[in-house]
Amino acid sequence: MSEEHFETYIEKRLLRADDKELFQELLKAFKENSKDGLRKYLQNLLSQLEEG
Amino acid sequence: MPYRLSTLKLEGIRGFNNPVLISFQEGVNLIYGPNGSGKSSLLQALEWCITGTVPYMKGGDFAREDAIVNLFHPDERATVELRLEGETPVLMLKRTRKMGSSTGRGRQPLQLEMQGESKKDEDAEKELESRLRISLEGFSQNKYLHQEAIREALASRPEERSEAIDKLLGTFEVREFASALDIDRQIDSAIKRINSSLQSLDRDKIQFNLNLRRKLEDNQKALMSRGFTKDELTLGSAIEILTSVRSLVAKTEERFGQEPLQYPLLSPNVQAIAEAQKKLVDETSILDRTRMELFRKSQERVLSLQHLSKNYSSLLTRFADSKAIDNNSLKKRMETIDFELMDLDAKGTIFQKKVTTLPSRRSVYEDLKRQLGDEQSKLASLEQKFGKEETIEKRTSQVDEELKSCAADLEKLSEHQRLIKIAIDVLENTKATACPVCSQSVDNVTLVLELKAKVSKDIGLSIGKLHDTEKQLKQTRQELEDAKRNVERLTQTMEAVNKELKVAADAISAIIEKKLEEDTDLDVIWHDWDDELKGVSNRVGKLRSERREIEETIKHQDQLISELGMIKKQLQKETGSLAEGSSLLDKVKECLSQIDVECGKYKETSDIDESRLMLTRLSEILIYLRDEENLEVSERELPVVSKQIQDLKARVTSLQLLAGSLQSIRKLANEFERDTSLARFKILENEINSFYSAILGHPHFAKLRVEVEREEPLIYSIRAVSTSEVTYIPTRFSTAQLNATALAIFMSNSAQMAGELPLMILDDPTQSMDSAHKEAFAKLITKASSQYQIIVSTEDEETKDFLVKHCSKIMIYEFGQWTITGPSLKEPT
Repeated sequence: MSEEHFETYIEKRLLRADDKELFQELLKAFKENSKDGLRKYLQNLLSQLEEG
Repeated sequence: MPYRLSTLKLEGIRGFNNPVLISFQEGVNLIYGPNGSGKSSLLQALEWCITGTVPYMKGGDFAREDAIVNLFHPDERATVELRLEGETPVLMLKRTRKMGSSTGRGRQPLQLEMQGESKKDEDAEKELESRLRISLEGFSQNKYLHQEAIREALASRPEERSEAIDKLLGTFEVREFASALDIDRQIDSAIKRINSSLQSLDRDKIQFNLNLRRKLEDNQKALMSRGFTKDELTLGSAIEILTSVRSLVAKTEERFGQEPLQYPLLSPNVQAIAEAQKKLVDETSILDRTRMELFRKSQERVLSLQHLSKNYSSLLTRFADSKAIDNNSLKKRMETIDFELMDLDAKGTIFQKKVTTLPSRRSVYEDLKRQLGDEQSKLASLEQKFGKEETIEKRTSQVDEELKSCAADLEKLSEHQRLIKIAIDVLENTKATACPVCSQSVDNVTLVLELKAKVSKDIGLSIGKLHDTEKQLKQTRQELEDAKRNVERLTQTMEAVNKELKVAADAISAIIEKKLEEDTDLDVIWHDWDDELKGVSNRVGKLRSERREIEETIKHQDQLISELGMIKKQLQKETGSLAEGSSLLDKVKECLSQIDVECGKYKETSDIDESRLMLTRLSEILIYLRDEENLEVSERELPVVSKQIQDLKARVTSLQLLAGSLQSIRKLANEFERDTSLARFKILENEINSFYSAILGHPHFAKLRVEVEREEPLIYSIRAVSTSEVTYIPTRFSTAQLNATALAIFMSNSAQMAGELPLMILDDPTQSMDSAHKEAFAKLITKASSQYQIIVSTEDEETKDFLVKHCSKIMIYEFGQWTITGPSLKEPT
């Protein structure tokens, strides 16, 4: 896949600024440590939101 | 002219230990060898050199890339160098990995040399991508068809097949990205947990507050119905009651002769009053126990005094009665008895000895007498047979004389016999016919015979008789000698027995204390003594019995005196006086009256009962006041709870927002994957079908068409199309046809993404094909090799033979058995 193409495709279609920001964070985690890295990032985020 | 692989130098990587140099030619390069000989290792080394990764070794095995380093390499270092030629400049790529080393980017840096210019790491990779006009990330999908990718394409589950297609098209990472975002279930669980907390805070807390209020109101009503007034249900009233109880308890303590307790100052709050109330409840209980203990002790003292005084009175009476007994005369009588007993003991001992000794002495004496009688009988018998000793001696002398005479006769007859024998010998020897003495003629023979007869008859007979006489005389003499010896022995024995008899008789005389005569009757004497002994024994028994009775009487008297003294002392102690007898008993009566007055005091419980009643009432007031306090606290907490509820609700909103955002992103990622894949298929459709037909895809369904069957996750439906029909591939196609489909997709995509490196690496591409498909594949590769540099790895001999048959320009590297130094490699042909 073309990475830039994918990024552009998603960014263009996301309406909320918060979603765009979240997508960038998710993409960064995925690039750094692929699927496992992304899962770990999401688990941390989930814990933070649940525990306040 | 595009770039192509020229040489590959390997050392210390995967199965390669020693350095190996591989030269690639344009067109087809065949890596041939058995399973496990190092073919895939060579291709992975090539992939690692270009991309820095080995996709099918990701995860645990590939962690820190140590898995690619050969375990037997002396430096534990993997080195791969690749030369790319065709375009200018020539590109020299190099990657090395030392076992255990760490890297910043997660992979070893690339070194790129080109005409003296050198680049490293990211710069080198960018330069390489620019020169080759490819994406290094896409190398593993576009240039290299892994044997695992073919196997996945043949998988039965649609999800796995779709993933394999994504890998072939390069959209697999988008699928991975989208699937990682699917955490809806975890978000739902988190929201449920927060909602649960919300419920307990929101509904339960408010409900709890309402319940408290209701309970307080009910409690107030119940108390008022039992006589409490509203004014009593206050802290002031509670303090007032507590103070009253304290003074009541103090009064009671004083009444019991105890020092009243000092109480600390009261803090005007429910907790402090409740604690003080609890302490007072304990104190009241202790006070009541003390009262009961004092009452019990007084009662015991009354009983003890009554008992002692009764005993004392009785003992006084008995003592008065016993004064008639004279202790001194009793003691004198005891002394007299003791003396008499001593005499009787001595007398009894003597008689006892006599009675015991006499029978044994008598037995000895009578035995000796019997023995002497026996010996006398034997002597009389001998004398009767042989006469007295002098007679025996006289007869012995006579026998001796007779024996001598007999011996002389025998000698004379023997001489005669000898002479006659001589005469016979002479007559026989000389055979004389006349007598030598008288010269009278004789008949020699007759004479000899007569002489011989005479000698044998007359003289022989006489000699025989003499011998018999001699034998008889000797026997008689022997008998006489024996009789003499026996007489002597008997005489000696009798003398000895007589001596012993005398000693025995003397012993008996000593016992009976008079000379033992023949007419002395020992039986009468012994019976007299025995009667005497019995008399002594009877007397001793009577005296001892009398002595015991006297002893008992004296002892009883002493005991009475001692007991009386002891009870007297106890009573004197209890009454605190030194009075005795009836005066002491009067004092006891006075003392009992005093104790009775004390008992009356301890029986009184009205103060304690009143204290308890007031404390119970106070306890009920305090329970009410505590509930009132709890209600106040709970009402004060309500705003804090509201804030917590707001916070939890905000968290739920955040989580719901996250879920929404993730769903949006996931949906878009899936759309992208779907659109990109379908676009790729559209672009590649002709190419795919061209390759597919070339590898004998299907005799009837000549074309392939890819459609989306389901979204999230994206499932492709690969359909085979004929002029009139459409079919779903996995249900109609053989594994060989599925293998051909995977090859067609890869080759078409690879052709599209060739860039400046038209290269196809095919690892075990014909793994599920039959002969016809393999030959078709060989022809397709031959045709494609005019445009692409192709590296085929296989262990299949048939595939090799078809490639050799159809490719005019093919270089074959044949791998032999693997050893510790690396694969054995034959010279390329």
